[in-house]
Amino acid sequence: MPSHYAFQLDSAFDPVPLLALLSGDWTLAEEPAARRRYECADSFDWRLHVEGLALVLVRVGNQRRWELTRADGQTLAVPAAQGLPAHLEALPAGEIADALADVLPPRALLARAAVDTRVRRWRLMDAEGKTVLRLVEEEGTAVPPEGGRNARHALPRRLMLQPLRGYEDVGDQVALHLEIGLGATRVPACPCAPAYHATGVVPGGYSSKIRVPLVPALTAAEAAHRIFLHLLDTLEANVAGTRADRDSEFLHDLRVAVRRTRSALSQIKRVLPEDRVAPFRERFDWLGRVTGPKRDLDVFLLQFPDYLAEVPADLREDLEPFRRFLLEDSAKERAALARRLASPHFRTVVKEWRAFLEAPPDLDAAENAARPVEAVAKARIWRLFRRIIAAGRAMGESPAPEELHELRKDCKKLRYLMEFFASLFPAEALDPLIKALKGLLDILGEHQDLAVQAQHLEGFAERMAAEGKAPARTLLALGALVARVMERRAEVRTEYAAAFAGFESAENRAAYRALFKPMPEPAA
Amino acid sequence: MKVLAVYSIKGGVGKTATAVNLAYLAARSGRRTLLWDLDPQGASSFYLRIRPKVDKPRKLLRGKRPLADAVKGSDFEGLDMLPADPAYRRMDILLDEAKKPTVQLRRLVEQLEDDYELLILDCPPSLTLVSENVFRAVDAMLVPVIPTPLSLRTLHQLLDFLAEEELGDVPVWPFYALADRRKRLHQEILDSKPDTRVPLLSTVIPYHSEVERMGLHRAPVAEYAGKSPAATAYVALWREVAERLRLTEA
Repeated sequence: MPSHYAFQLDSAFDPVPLLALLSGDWTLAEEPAARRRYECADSFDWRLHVEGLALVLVRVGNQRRWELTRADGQTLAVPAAQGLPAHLEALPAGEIADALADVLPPRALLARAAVDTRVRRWRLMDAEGKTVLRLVEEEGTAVPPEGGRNARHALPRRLMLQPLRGYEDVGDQVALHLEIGLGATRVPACPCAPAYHATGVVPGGYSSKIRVPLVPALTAAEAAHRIFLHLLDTLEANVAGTRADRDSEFLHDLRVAVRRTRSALSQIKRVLPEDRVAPFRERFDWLGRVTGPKRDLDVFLLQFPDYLAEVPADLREDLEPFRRFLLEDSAKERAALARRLASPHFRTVVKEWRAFLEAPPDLDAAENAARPVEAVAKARIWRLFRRIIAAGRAMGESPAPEELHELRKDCKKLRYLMEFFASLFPAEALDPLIKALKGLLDILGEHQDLAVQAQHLEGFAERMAAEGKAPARTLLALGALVARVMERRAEVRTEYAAAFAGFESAENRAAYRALFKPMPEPAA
Repeated sequence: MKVLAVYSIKGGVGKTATAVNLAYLAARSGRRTLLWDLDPQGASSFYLRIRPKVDKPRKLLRGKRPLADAVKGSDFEGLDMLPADPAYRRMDILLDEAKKPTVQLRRLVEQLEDDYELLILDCPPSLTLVSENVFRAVDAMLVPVIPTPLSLRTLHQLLDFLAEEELGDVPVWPFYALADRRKRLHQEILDSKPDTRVPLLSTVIPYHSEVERMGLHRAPVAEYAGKSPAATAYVALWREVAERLRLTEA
């Protein structure tokens, strides 16, 4: 595909001055006007944008095509069989699907903004009447993805040059005349950036990562309000996508926000008024519980391809009834979850929690409320770190599974605390600590997840058998899978001792001490 | 990418008109289409206003120069062309210089796999090494047949040849072209359903002077006479072919 030029225009394109600049025998023929619609596609968390990719679904008449612009400006196009939202599987096999394969899944492509345009078109022909360049003037309005008629925003008029293969030099020449001779401003050919700008959409504006800007002098209560509000924003941002089950990651991110909130409610101690906060602890526990079953099924469906590889080749086909069972169950749980997220109870939890967090913090409500956040954060992190070291040492090299599970829970709390308060510490000191902690957490997490998986698999097998949905060979395949999962768990367990030894190393402890050990506060 | 040859042993059967009109309709339906004019006469290049000339045609056919370098955009969106070259008169010799001469064309078109969804080959009328290359590179062969005994005979000759060369599994899709119901012979053959050994497509392309005017307009029929019987017939033919190639509208 030849690269396309685009220029911003202040007024309607007038071909006469351009023709005057071209030497030789050229004609410009205007073609019938048309309409064109662009839908700018990206995942909810902007995975394409982050990679420098821009994907657009272009509709002309009743035809649709995907156009992908890569970071190097090269464009690829392919006919589209369906609109947005879409998963990777909906794209035809080829270069575009290949370019997205490592970037997008498991997220879905959503329309993040749309542009409706009126198009005027010309063909530039050489002396022999051969078309050598297409010129397209677009006058468009941007529409936010959920926007109606009132949400339209006019976009600057653009002129695009579409060179033909084998005649690229003409496009280059005309572009030069437009730029130098007629003073036109060159702009990117992709219409998405101006559409986002006009509709107030911020590309990259959502991330599941915790980003709470804090300063050391903030009171602990103010900081806590900000952290909880950030988590609540993330939670709410994911409700619509979870209800519609656009992809598995909406629910995942929603659950992470709930889990972090619960962790913060228990770990940020004596900062918020206990009588106000206690009811929310229960409410978020409820939310964690009711969102669990659907997520479990999502995990099994996401892992299904790996499961196929884990069982002997002659049993692979026999896992198909299991997959169908998961899909049926997932549809039921999805409906149940959608109802819960639309329920008055859920809306009340969110509304009241937000009202509490948006009100000014009560600095007299708890003993740590008015202290500087830095001191409170350090003390809390240091204390938890020391507890983990002590617990890990007490467990020895071959701890019981329950002990590992408890250790994991504490490590996760520690990780969340460091992430909540990350902006208070220099990144170059904090990041390696979080990374090292993640290494240990990965092993503890996998160990626990595999145990839960084995349990669930057995549970599914029993239910399928009871409901008469499991042929004998499917039960055999599930049995083989459970055995493989338990083997894997035993393998993971052998990795634990070395991982903890690294976490407990003198070097790591010194780094924690330097960063978090509180200075003794001056005596009152 | 699907590869479709428009082929006939005999000349003057409406082969080039078919190739150009189908390529145009494929592009109009949203399929990225490339038309390769293999016929040294360069008629389809002429119809699309593209000069029948290629830089270093010999290097191109030997795979020493990317095919993509020689591609030219046509006047119609989504339709590109590999123009003909006078050197294609000696294409047999050029292909014969390759290591496995009978599959050289297939190796060449593989270069374009990701660029296009449909490649249409407008083939020179003959039964030579070029034809054999074509037979080994295509997903199907579209064979125009005039409703006359002579034209039917060349279809049989083609099928015999394919059988002899163990190419009997290449799909051959014959269809009636240049059918003139005012001629009694055409009428009789159209009505009598003679044995063609492979089933004919159901579309019949009628003889129509508008098709001959393609050379005047230098454009596919649908561009300047969209409502003519010929244009309508090509649309029907494209639907049939697209269905068989599984390239129905996206």
